Amino acid sequence: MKLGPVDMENLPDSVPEAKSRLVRDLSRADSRELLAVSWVKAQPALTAFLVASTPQFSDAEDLLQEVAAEVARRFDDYDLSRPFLPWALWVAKIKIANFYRARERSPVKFIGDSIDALGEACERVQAVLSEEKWALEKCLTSLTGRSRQLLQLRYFEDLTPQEMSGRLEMTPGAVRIALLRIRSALISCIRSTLAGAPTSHG
Amino acid sequence: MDDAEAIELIDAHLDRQPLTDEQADALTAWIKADPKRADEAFYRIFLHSYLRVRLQAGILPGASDLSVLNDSRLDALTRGHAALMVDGLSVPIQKKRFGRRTALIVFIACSLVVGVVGWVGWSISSVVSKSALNKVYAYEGFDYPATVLPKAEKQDFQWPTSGGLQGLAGGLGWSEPWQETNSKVAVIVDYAKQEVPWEPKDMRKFGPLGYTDSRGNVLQSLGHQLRTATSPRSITTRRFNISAFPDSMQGEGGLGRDGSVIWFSFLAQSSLSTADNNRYSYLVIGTKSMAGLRVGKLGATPSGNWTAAGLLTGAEVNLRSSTVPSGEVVLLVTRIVFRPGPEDAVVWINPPLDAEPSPTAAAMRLPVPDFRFVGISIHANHSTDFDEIRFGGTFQSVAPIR
Repeated sequence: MKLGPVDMENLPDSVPEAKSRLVRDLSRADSRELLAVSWVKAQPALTAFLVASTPQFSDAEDLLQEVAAEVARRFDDYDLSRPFLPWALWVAKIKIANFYRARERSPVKFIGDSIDALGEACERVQAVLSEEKWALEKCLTSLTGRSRQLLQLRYFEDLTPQEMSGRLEMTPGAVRIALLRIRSALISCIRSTLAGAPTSHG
Repeated sequence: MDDAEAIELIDAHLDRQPLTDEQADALTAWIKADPKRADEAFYRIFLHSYLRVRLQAGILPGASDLSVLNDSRLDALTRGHAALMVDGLSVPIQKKRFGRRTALIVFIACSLVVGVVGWVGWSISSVVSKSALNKVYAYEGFDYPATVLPKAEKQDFQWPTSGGLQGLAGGLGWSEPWQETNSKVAVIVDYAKQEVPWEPKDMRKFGPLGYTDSRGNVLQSLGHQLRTATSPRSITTRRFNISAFPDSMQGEGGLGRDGSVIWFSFLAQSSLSTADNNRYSYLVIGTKSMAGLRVGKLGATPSGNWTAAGLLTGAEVNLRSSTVPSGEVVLLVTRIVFRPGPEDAVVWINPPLDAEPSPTAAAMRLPVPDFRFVGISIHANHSTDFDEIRFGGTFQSVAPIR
């Protein structure tokens, strides 16, 4: 799918279903609770999807707010017989397209061409993200001070490897390689942690 | 393209390094070739996204909690042994507030931080004195005479539609008196002198609002308390005197400049624990139409437990509910770290009063859409008591011990 201009208001509210049951059929209290629960479950995956689409964190966070608002606004039209995440991803894709349209920029080419494949991966992966998070928290405790500092600069201060290099007296390339190795080590650790204790954390 | 090269390109993309068209095409082909590869790519993206959220929320596990902003940051600088200072790397920690050291050490340490770190908001906050931060900027203890309620048989009792809090102007740090803006009004109640026709299930008949922590420390409290209306509702609002807050907290649109930290607390108890029929009673800062934060009892949590939720263009977002029923008296303490993008709100229920609580002991933590605020509102469609509202720059300022 190419990300072209999309008019949110002119899109169908939901895919036609022979026997759909919409949220608007629920009581207000049930509807609000369902939205809260569904959003909390989907938010990590949606955040990752938006971060991939707009690597500037502040843009992704702004987009997440817009997606949240749109999901809430259209929630009455959500078909209960369908999973929530794909529906929310549909909203997210529209918001991403509008984001680039408003800025008169083309989407990052890699994301524009891969967005559907990544959206499908997002749906597949969502179910295990809570396990991943648990394992990741354990793995983060084993980081060395230097790794912590690199992550702090990259994710807390939002510096690019180029900007980090000035702080650390390293070349940008060395910073990129260091970040690559930290991430790869964390993913290896997550896998070994999950393999060793698949259900112990409840 | 092999897997390692693909992962390297994904990392480069996530680190805001532009890919060439050839690299993007090759990476796209790699992802599309096999769903397992797409999953690998997404795991990598998720890790990146989670690290961002995690690092913004607090320091990594295994070290002191970054979000306990007071003291520990400067202690780290002066002692040089905090988790982020190891391995001989001398990049200072970015956010900081105030140590228990002498004013000179604070000044030197803050200067070091300011000199090296470029985040203006945090830099500005560092030059506010500790005493200024420990001061409460706005306070309302509802130290007013009790509202005289009309005498009538219970079945004929009519809740007042005027008076109440309207025009009361006590407390400190406010620019104008309380305003009642809905069909019923909130009132001042005095349980010692007032004969209250308690409903059988009303939890408040056991005594006025107050709080003593598990170590015997007693929260300072004064005067009477506010009771919200029911059927249909009361909305009671008041604006802050913005100039009573430090300049570092003020920004365009009100309080909450990026880089500032604001604490607020209040006592509360609902007449009933459940939120059946969409009962709500909460304190809100910010605006419903734009963005803000609600803390209290929300209709979206039918259990009625104390809850917090962000607001964004009319909708509640990132709702978090505690395990504490709203029929129980609680001291709710909230800390908001205003950041670029979403704010970080942490809510403690009944924390120990003798030290700033750790975020790991919080009852609720949630990102709140970027917002500013100029006052507070207490909304309720259900009878709930509120008291001892405090806004300040530190935990101690909003949780003073008697």
